[in-house]
Amino acid sequence: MNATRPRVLVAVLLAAVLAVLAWWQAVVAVPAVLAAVAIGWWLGACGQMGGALPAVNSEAGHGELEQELRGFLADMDESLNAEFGYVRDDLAQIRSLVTDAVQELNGSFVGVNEKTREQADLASRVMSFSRDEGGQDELGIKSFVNETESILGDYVDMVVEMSRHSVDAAHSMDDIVAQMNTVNSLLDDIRGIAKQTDLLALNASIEAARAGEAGRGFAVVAEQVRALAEQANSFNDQIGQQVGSARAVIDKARASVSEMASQDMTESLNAKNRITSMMQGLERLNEEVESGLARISTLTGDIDGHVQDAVRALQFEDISTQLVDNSTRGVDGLESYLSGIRSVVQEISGADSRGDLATQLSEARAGLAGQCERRQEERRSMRSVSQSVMDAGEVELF
Amino acid sequence: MPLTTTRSDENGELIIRISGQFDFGLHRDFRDAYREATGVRRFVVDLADTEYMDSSALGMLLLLREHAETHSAQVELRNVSGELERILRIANFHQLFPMRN
Repeated sequence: MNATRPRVLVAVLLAAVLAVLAWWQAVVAVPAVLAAVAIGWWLGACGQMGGALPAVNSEAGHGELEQELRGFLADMDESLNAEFGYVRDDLAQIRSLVTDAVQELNGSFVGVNEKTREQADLASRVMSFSRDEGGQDELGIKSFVNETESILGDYVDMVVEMSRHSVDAAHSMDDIVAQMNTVNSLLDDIRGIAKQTDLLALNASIEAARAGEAGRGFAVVAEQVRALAEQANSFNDQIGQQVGSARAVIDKARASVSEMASQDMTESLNAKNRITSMMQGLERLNEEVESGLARISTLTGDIDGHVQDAVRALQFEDISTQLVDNSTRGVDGLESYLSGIRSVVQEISGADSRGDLATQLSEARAGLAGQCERRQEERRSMRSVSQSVMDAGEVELF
Repeated sequence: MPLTTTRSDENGELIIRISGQFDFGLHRDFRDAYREATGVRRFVVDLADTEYMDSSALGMLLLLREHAETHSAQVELRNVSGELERILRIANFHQLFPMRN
């Protein structure tokens, strides 16, 4: 009877190792566990029925083997426990790392959100400023340039008008000079008449002298006529001089008028060109600013969208925390499962009869299967919860 | 001669062609060129050979325009280009005178 015990022990051990491996590898381990336990049971049964397998026959041999197996079990138990401890610590660390990182990320996303909003506000303020909205010309560059342009236009008009008047005045002076030339030729005519009068008076006085006493009165008249002719001549000269000086004054006036009429237009032209290019530059600047600001607004919207996405994605924290918690619970489950196996092994090592052994094994199997099923149920419900969370639409920044 | 006058009787045109400087020195010759002309329907100022123009030239053109208006005639500027065209434009002469090349 005792010869079967080590075999059973080996089978159970094998089953335990398989079960642990199965548990470790995958969640759905029940079939593997059941298979392993079945193999163990079969091996044990085979040994009992036929005893055909080579066996250790002596009591001392059994004791030694049992000792070794117990030692092996204890070692395995110890190292598995240690592993569970490490895994649990690692999971706890992951949990706190994820929570901290997510908190920090949330904070920085809130910051990004605030800053982009501020940026958008600034952009829209600058835009309304440069558009002179509400009729208030705060920048005033445009209207300044417009005003300068209209002043330049007025200036050019004024210069042209002045030139027109000046040329007109010059024409009038030309006409006056032409009339003065007529006066001069008339004066020449008068000078000729005076000369003839003088000659006539001279002839008259000669004739009067020849007439003697009878011509004395006539001689006086002739003398007076001569004096009048001389006087006329001198008036003529004076008028000629006056006309000459008037002509000099007119020449002087014409020089001034010429000065007034002859304004170089090049400066005005340059000024006009400068204003035009300034206007175009302003126009370009305005367009550039507007399109830049519009782009900033779009970008702000885009950034907002990305931040929302990122914040939504940060909900992985909840899920991963849940998963970590699940894993921690899994480790706990594994530990209790292992301790279940441990007690089964202890029971078996102390059992005597095949009936006891069979009952204990089937009880242990049922217990383990129940435990396994509970775990699976637990995991199923958790998975369905965690799947639904990530797809949630609206997310508020917190 | 800085100023030459050509009469084209079939069109009723009087063409005043100015070469070199169009400035105050020409004011008498310019007025003489149109003042006595009769039966003119269009005064044409040809600026093809004109190198420079100051404000007195603009004044002379305005006086020619006044003269033409009182005689029911038109004034046309011909062969205007470059700097001269820009000067005429800032004085808004393109709105007062038809220009043709």
